[in-house]
Amino acid sequence: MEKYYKKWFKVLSLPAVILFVVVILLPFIMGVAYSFTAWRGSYFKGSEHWYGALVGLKNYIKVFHSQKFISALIYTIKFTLVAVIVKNVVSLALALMVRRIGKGIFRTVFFFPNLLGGLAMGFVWSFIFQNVFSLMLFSEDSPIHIPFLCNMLQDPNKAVFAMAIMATWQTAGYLMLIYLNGLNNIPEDLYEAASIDGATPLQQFRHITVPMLMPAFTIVFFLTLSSSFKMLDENLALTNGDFGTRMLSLQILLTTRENTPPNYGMAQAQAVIFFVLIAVVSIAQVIITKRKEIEA
Amino acid sequence: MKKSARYLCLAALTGAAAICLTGCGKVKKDYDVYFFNQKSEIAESLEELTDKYEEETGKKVKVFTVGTTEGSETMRSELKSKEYPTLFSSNAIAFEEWKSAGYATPVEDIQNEELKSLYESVPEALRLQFEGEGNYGIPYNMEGYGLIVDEQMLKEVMGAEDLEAFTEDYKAANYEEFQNMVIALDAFIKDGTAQTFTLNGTEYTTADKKTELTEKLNGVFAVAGAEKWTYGNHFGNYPISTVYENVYDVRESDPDKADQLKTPLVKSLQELDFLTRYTAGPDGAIERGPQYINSTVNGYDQAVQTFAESKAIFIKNGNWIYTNVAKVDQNVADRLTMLPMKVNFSDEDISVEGLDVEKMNRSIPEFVSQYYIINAKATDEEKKEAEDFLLWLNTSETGQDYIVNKFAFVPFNADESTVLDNPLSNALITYKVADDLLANPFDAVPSAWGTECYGKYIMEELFTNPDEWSGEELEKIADECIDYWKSGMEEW
Repeated sequence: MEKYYKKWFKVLSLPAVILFVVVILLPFIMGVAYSFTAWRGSYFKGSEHWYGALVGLKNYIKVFHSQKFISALIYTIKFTLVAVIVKNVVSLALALMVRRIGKGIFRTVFFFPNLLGGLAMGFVWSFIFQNVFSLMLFSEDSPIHIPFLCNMLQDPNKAVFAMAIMATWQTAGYLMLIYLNGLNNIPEDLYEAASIDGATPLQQFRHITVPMLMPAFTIVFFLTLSSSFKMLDENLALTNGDFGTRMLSLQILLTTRENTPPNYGMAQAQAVIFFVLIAVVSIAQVIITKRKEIEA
Repeated sequence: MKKSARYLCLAALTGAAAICLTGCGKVKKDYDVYFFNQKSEIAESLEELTDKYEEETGKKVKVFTVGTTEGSETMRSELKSKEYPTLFSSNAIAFEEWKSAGYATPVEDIQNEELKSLYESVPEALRLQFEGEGNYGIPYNMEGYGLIVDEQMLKEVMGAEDLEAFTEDYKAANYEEFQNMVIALDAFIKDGTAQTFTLNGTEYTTADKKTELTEKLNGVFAVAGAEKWTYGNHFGNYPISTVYENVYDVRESDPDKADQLKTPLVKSLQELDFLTRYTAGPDGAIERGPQYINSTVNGYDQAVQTFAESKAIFIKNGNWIYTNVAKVDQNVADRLTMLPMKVNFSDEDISVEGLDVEKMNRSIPEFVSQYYIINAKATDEEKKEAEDFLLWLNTSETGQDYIVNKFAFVPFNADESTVLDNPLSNALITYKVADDLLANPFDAVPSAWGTECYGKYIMEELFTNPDEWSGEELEKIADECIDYWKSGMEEW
């Protein structure tokens, strides 16, 4: 089998490579080039070709002077911090739970939300937050009045949690599977030996489960970090960026819609900055968590 | 053998990929005209109409419709494709992009003489221009907005059989009289007793008891608090109109001209403070607060429904509302009429030449939503076909019948003789004939100012606040709106 793969490797990988080059790499390179031009969607301002409309770093300077971009960046970081923690805690807790009880049915149920589209679910959740939470369950007239859970979409700090709740609900099932796989790979005899030595369940979790799960942590952290940074659907559907809740993806999208003719050059500059940010954060995270991984 | 199979496979794959990626070199077009339409309301009738065109002339018209939010993005890629539209549509602002990219045919280059004269018959104020010059398109229609009211409701509230005198006095009335009228109407709604107010110096008294229809009322206005465009864009147009004459004025003026917006903006916010104290809701009046901007409670559809169910006397909106009202209650829809919105300005606030408060108070903003434009990058043959179709659409009997009856458009060249099913459209024609029109400069505001700044402040800070809005706060908002306007202009 290995011989077969070795022989056919180049051929078999060709379609993927071609697709990657054409759909991702080329547009990416073009995009970086365009971010230095006065690109207006259908044309380049002042020239027939992109190289005639070069404006140097002007787009980047504008981006860093843009109040909207800066506040979107800060808000995105805030959201990412909250979302990464919540998603990891919840998905790990779910994984620990389904490992013991109701294996089949709970796994399926928790995984379900992951199959649904982000935007459509966003509108459903918008109804839940605005109507079910604010007017029914936790309203002033209700016996369980919780002001924090009312009108969550009308306050930037509450909205962080509203979006985190929805994002967690959607992705926790998927992350749970990764953790579950990690948990199943931990040899039972380690726990057995520990309990003979008199370790409490909490100690077992800290000194066996956590270190042994490090490879899973690396993957889940990477996935949650980058997906939280890039989140668009939930942001668009829940708050549409109102009340200072605009995140970076939405900011880039709206840059092309807020001006006529659309300033694609500036939007592209934001996208490049966005890419660099995500790349730096993700790589740093992978390096750090990789270092902590151990072999059993 | 094996090796050759491998290469064969490789070659086939590369070939397939190449075909997928580049597409066929030459496209065979199976239509004579390709029309990219950005008004989704007319999509179905337009298909019907093109079938009739094919029956009459044997020419096939391909129509592609995408609504305006995503329209530009789709059209951008369509125009660049090999099967580009030969006829497309745009509003006055987005047009700058299509013109700059070289897609717009000016009137001088129109080959068909009849069509050329149709272009030239478009009144100066309605022409599609670039930087205030030229003539590049044929208007789809006219649209307009104001204070919409059910005539029957007004009759029963006023206990009057005839509204003519009332309407005339209303149009001439000033803002203080309008405020007193709203207060009187609100008192009538609350306790059903006769209330007195004056309009244009004439005294009016409401009915002294409620009827079956007026019993339903629970507020004076239906306001879509969750929809920033209804107040951000359309209401925002009134203060902008005091400073800027039209869309080209907004685009071409010095950024510092925006400083003049200060007082009009503050006054417009004060007016909103007043109006929103009398808001009707689905189950009783709504107060400002978090619920006011909750889209599941006070969104656009809900506000229209509240109005259509006779729970509010007025709704500030445009003639397009007719179909939505008709879905709730056809009878109400057929009794609608449009009154001008009253503005809280004085003559000193208005710097546009030839405009004063009296004129603003009796006029409504009217504008062209979309224009037909011939693609300048099409071949001469394709242009000719597109021109023939455009001419037929606008001048043939079938075409005109469709424009008025199926598209339910107010034609740009409508006059007294034009009668439409939509009473609001007829009202627009009345204002047009009387020349009681305001321009629509908000269309050109920088960086989505209406929804991202002015409307956003209104929604986030004012509509959520049940108390009276402090002058200090309103001044601060006006200043920030002006700053936003100026910095938005830098992004152009």
